Amino acid sequence: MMAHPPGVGPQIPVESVAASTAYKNVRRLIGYVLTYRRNVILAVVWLLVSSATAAAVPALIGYVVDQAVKQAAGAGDLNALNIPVALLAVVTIAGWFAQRAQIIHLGDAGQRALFVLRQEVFARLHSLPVAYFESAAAGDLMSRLVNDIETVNSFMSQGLRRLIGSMLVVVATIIAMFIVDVRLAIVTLLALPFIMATAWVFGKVSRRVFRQRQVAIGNVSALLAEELAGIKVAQSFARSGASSEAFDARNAANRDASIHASAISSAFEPALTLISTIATVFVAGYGGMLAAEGVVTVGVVVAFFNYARQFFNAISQISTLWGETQSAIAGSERVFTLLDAETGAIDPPDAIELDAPLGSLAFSKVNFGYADGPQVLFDVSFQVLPGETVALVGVTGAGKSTILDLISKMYAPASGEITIDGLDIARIATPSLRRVLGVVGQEPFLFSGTVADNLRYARRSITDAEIHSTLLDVGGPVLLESLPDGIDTQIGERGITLSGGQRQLIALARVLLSEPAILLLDEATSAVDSRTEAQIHTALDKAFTKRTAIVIAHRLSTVKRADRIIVIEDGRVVESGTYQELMTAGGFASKLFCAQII
Amino acid sequence: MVSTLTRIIRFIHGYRTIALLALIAIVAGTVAELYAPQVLRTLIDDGIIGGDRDQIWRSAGWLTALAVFSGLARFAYGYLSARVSHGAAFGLRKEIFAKLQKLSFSYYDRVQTGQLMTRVTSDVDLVRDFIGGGMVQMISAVLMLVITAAILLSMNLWLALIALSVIPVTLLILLLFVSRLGPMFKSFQERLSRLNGIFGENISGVRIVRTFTAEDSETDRYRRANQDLLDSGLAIRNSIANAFPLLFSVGSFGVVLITWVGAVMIVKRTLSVGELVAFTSYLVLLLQPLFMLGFGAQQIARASAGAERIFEILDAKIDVAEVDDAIVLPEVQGRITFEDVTLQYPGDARDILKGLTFSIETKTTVAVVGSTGSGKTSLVNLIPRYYDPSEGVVAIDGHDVRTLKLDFLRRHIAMVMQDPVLFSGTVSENISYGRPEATQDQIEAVARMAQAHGFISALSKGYMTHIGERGVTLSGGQRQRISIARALLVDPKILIMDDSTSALDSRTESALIEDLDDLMRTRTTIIIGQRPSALARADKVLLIEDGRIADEGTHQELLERNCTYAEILATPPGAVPHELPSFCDMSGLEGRDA
Repeated sequence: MMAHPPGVGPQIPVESVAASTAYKNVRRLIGYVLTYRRNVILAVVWLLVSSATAAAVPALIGYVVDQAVKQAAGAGDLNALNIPVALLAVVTIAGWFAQRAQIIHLGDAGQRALFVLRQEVFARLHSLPVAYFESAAAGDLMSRLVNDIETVNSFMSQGLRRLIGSMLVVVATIIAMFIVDVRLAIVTLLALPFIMATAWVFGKVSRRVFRQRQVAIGNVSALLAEELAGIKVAQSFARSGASSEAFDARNAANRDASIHASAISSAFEPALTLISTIATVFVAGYGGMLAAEGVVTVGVVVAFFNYARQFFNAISQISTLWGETQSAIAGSERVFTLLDAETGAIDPPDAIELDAPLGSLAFSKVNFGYADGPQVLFDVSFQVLPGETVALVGVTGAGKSTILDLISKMYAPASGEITIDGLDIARIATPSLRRVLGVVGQEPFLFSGTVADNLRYARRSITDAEIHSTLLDVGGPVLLESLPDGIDTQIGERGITLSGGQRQLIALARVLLSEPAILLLDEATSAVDSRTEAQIHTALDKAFTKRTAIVIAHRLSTVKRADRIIVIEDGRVVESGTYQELMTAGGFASKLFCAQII
Repeated sequence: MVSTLTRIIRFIHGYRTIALLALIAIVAGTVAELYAPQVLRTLIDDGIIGGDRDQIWRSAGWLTALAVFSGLARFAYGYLSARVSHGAAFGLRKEIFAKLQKLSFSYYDRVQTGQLMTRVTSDVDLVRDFIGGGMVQMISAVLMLVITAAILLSMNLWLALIALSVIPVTLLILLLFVSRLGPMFKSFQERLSRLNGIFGENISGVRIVRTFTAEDSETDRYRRANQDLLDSGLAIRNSIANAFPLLFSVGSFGVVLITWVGAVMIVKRTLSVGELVAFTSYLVLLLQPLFMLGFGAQQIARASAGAERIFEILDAKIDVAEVDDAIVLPEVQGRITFEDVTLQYPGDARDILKGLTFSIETKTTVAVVGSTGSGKTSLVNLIPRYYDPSEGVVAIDGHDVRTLKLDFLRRHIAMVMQDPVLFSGTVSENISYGRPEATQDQIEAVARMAQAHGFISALSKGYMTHIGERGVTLSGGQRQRISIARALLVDPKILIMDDSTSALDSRTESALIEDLDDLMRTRTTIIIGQRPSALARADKVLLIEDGRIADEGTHQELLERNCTYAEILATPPGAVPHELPSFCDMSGLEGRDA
C-alpha cells in the first residue's frame, strides 16, 4: 500500500517552461549552488550513502526472514539472526545520519547561494536606468520578482534536496531489485510506463484547470482591490452594494473552478496508488508462484514488497516535486531576465569627481525624447549663473520636468550638452554629480521609518537638534505639532499617514539638510498653502543665499521670486528674462501671467 | 481558540450532509487500507508457505479490489471535502465583502487595503484548508490510530507493544523539536518581509535613492537584512536536520525491532512470516495518522489565527450606522446648519473641529478657506455622514443628518474628493457611476461643464476609452475633471468640491466655474480652496483656523478686514501689486495665487 502524510501527496505541475530555456536556467541556478563546492560534495556523498541504505534495508529484512524460516525448520539457532539484525540496525543509523548531513550541507549551499542571488538582484536594481522602472512591463516584472525569488528559495532550500534524494533512491532501488531478483524487478518496473502516462495526462488536464483557478481567484482579488480603493467613492454615491452581484459571480466562479481543480488533483493520488498497488499485487502473485515452486525464497518476496513500496513512494515524491521545480524554473527565468537587463549609461572610466562647484549650469542645443516616444525637448539652450534662481514656466507637458531629470542624469540627452561649471555632466561621475544636487519632486517619496530616519537620509551625522530646527524653519511649529511623536514619529506602512503637504515639507527639509550646491524643485510646494509656502521660501532664502536653484512652479508668487524666468513651450525655450521684462515684452509669458496660467 | 473554531464550523452548516459523506468516505477508505495487510498475511502464510496457488491469486484479487475501493473512497473524500471547504470559503468571502461595504470611513482610515486583501484571500484559504483537510483528517487519524492499535493487539501482544511504543517516542520528538520550529518560522517570515520591504522601497523610491546617491548605503541595509534572513534560515535548517530525520528514523527503528523480535518468534514458531510482514505494514499505517495529527495541530493553530483576523472584520463596529426609524424627506432644499459641532477622530484625542456653528442657505455658494490642516475637509465630511460629530448637530433642512436614511442623504449630496479615485472601465462608465442609467447626451453635457469633453474626445476611443489598470493613464487634472463630471451627473441638491481643481491650470478652472454658474444658482455649493475665480463667485467665505470659524463674510469683506485671510491668499511680502503693468487688468485679483 502506498500512502503519504498529508501535504506530501502528489501535486501536479502548474507552470510549464520551454525546455531549452529551462535547461539554461537550471544550469545557471545550479551554478550558484556549485560555488559552495565543499558542501555540495559532502551532500552528494551523504545522498549516495542514504540511497544505498534505502536500497539495502529491504534485502536485509528479507534475509532475516529467510534465516528465521530456515532456523524454524531446522536447528533453531537464534545466533544466526544476530549478524543480519545488527547490520540492519547499523544501516538504519547510517541512514539517519546521512539524511541529517545532507540537510545541513545542501541547505547551507542552497541558502548561501540564494543570499548571493538576492544581493545580485538588489545590486542590479540600482544599475538599471530610471526609465526601466517607469515602463509597464518592468513594473509587472518587479511586482512578481519578490514572489519569484521566494519560489526559487523554497526550491533551493528544500525541494532540490528532496528531488535529488528521490531520484537517487529510485536508481538505487532499481539496482538493488535487479541484484536480488531480475524477474521480480522487471514485473515491478512494468508499472512505470503506466505511472508516467497517468502523470502526463493528469499534468496536461490539471495545468488547464489550475490555470483557470488562478484566473478565478485573480478575478476575485482584482474586484476586491478596486472595491477597496474606491470604497469611499462608492459609499458617497450610495452605491455600495452595486458590486455585490459582480463579486458574488466571481466568488462563485472561483468556488466552482477550485472544486473542479480539487476533483482533478484528488483523483491523481488514488490513480497512482492504484497502479502501484496493482504492480505490487503482481509482484505478490508472481513472486508467490515462484516461491511456492521454490525458485525464490519467501524472504525475497518480502523484500520485494518493501522495494515496491519504496520505489513507488519515491516516484510519487518526484511527481510532487516536479511542480515545484517547474515553478522555480519559471521564477528563476524572471529573476535572470532582470539580471540580464541592459544597464543604464555607465560613467566613463576617466569620469571626473565634482567637488564644491561654483554652480553655473548650461544647456546647449539639448534634444531629448523618451524611448519609443516622440521628441520632448528641441534644441534647448539656456544658462544659469552661480547663485541665480531660475523659474521654469510653461503649461503642463511642456517638458519642464524632463529638463530637471536630464540635469540629475536620470536620463541622458539624445544630443547636445549639459554643463556644470563648464564641464559636460556626461564626463562627471554620477554619484558626485548627484551629491551636489538637491532634488524635490511633486510627490516626494518617504521611506518607512521615523521622520528623523528620513531626514538622516540626507546626511548620517545630523543631530536631533539640527533636524528639529530644520523642520521648524520649513514647516513652522504647525508641522511639528502635527507629528504625534515629534521627529520620532513613525511614518509609512506602520506609522501615520502624512498629507501631501506634510510629505513635501519633510522632503524639503531633507534636501535642506543635504546642503546641495544646486537646488532643483519640481512643484515641490504644490500641496502646501500660500502662507506655509512663504515660510518655506524664507527658509530656503536663508539656506541658499548663494546657491543656484531651478524651480518649477504653478504659483505666480513663487515664479516672481526668481531672478530670471525661462518660458518653455512644446519643448522649446521661447522666452526668458525677469518677470518685469517679460511682462513689458508682452509675449507668451505675459499672457500666461495675466491669465495666471502657469 | 475553541470559540473561534466553533464559529468557523457554523459556516459549513449548510454542507452538513456532504461533510458527513466525506467523513464516511475517508473512514471507508481507511478501513480498506487497514484490511489489506491481513490479506497479505493470508497470501504469504496460506498461499506461499502453504503452497496453495489458488489462494495466492485469490488474495491478489482481493488486494486489487481493496485498492480500487480505497482509491475510489479517497477520490470521493477529496471531491466532497473540496465542495464543503470551497463552499464555506465562498460563504465567508461573501459575508466579509458585504461587511466591508458597510464599514465606515473611520474604519478605512485605520486599516490598510493590503491587510484586508490578505484577509479575504490567504486568511480565508487557511480556514478553508482546515475545513477541507485538517478537520476531517484529524477525525479519521484518531479513528485509524484506535483501529490499528486494536488490530495489532489482537494479532500479537508483544509485537503490538513494540509497535505501539513508537507513538510516545514520536510524540516526544514532535513536542521537543518540531514545536520549536513554529516560532522560528515566524521570525523567519518577519525577517523576510523586512527584506522584501527594503526591496519594495528601493523600487518605489528609486529616484530618491539615486538623487541622494544612497545606493551603497541601501545595499548595505539590504545586505544586513539579507544576512539576518540567512542566519534565521540556517538556524531553521539545523533544527530541521535535528528533528525530521530522527522523526522518520523512529519508524525505521521500529521496523528493525519488530523484524528482530518477529524473527525470533518465527524461529520459536509463535509467529508466521505473513504476520510479521503484516506487522511492518501496520507500523507504516500507524505512523501516518501520527504525522497527520502533528500536521493538523499546526493547521488548526494557523486556521484559528486566520479565523480571528477574519472575525475581526466581521465583528468590526460600524461607526456611522443608520438608526432604525430613519426617514426620507419629500424634498431636499439644501439648507445646511452646523450647531456647536465638535469632532474627534477615533484614536486621536485632539479636537479637529471645535464647536462650529454656522449655516449655509439654500442655493448659495460658500467657499471654505483655511491653511493646511485647519479642518476644512473634516468639516464637509460631516454633511454626507462620512463621519459623525463627537458633539453637536449637523442638519439638512433642519433635520439632523443622523435621522435620515443614509442612502437618501448621500444620493442628494455629491462630493468631489481631493484625490479622485476612478474605477477601471470606460470613461462613460466612470462618469455615470452614480447614475448608471444616464444617456450619452447627459454624460457629454456634464463632461462639457467639467471641461473634460475636449480631452475625452481626443482619447483614442473617446468616451469608450478604457481607463485604469489595463487602460489609458490619465493625468491628475484629467482625473479631477472626470470626477467632477461624475458628481455633476447625479444632479445633487448639495455639491461639495474639496480642493478638486488643484491640478487644473487657472484658465481651465475659471472656465469651469463660469460653466457651473447656472448649476450653482439652483443648488447649494461648497467649495474648498483658494482659487480666485471660485472665491469671487462665492456668496460667502468661511475662514477656518485651527478647527474654529475665524471669520465669515464675502471675499471682499474678508480681504479688507482679515489679515490672516489676506495672508493665506496673498503673495509673500515684497511682491507688490502696483508693479503689475497697467494693460493687465487684474483688479481685485492682484498677486493672488494661480
